[in-house]
Amino acid sequence: MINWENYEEYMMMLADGELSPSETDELKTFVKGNKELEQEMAYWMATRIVPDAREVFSGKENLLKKAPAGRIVNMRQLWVYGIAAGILFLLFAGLLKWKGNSEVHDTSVVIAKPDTTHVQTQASATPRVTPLVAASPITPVTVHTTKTPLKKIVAHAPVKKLLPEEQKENTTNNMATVEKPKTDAAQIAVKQEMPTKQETVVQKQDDKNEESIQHVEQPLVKTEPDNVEKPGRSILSRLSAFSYTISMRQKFSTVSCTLSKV
Amino acid sequence: MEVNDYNACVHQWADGLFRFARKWTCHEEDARDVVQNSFEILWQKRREVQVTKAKAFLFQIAYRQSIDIYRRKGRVIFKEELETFENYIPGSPDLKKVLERALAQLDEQSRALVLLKDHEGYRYDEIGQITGLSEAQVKVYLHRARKVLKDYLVSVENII
Repeated sequence: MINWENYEEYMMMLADGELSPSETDELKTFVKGNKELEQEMAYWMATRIVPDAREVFSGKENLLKKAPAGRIVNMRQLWVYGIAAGILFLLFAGLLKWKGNSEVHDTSVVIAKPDTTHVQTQASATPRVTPLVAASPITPVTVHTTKTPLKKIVAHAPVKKLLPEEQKENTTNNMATVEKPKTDAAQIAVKQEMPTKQETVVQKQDDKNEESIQHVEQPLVKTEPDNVEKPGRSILSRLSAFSYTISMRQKFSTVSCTLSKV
Repeated sequence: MEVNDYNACVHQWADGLFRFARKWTCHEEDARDVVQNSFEILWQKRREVQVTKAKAFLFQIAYRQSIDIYRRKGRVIFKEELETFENYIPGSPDLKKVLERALAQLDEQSRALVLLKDHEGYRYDEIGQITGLSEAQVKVYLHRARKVLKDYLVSVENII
């Protein structure tokens, strides 16, 4: 209720804009008809400071911020990403190290394996041992195909079917042709034992080094169709094969020793 | 608060903040510094300030900065206002200029209360949050300030 004791407070609250519409109407009704109160109310309302809208801040452009072009990354969480990256790096490094150790272990095995495989592959690829041992006396026969023309030997194959006299002649002729490059020991062996030309070649082969054997064996397998096994020939061939295997084992042992040292 | 919200605050509140600081410090360059510092602090703390509280935050910072400036330059301002008052020519009354002179005679707290009330239309409780006063204190101080202004206007009117 507005009266003469509290009307100033109502007028100040009206100037502050804190009166409700009903209170405002009540105050206006109380003041109405009294010029002194109307003048006083005008003074109170004049104390309100109205802002000047023309007065503006001219440097707004300097206050504005540009939005980042890329994705916004919360810098506070960078340490989490750093730790995660570190863990991943350690795991990757550990994996690489473990794999490297296993590879080193494997290589040590592989170093040993290639020697064996090398020998095996050599033996399997070029029938140096098995054909000689298992097979056949054929291989020595073909030795001459390199040093002596194979055509001559092949030409003499059917000579077996001929008469012994003719065969002897042929063999002597062949021996004469064949034995030219041979050593004297081989010639003597051939003359004494009177072997076939194949046997003489085998004897000669025993005297030869391994390289000549290796070099010669391949064409023999291809060219010699004779699978007939003769006791003397097989012994000699087995002996030669045995010597060859011993030499190969020696080679293998030396190679393995060098590799193990490496 | 994101960048767009901050820029919206600049467009919406920079002028009012400048007028508030200009009226309070009675110095345009000081008012510009107050506005720039207020928005710089708002930008630094944009993650902590909600958009709805941005205006109160800005005026709170401006209020504190203006108090510091006023306390450093209070005497100078008062002297300038006295010189202005001495240059006042009776017979050409301009209510706006009279009010500015009356406002300059208030203490910094009363002036801030009047400006926050009249310029920005804050309620008593909101002014209390900005200035750190209670609602009752705001009401009492504001009424005292209005009475001073009214008495000044009456005195000037009598002179005229």
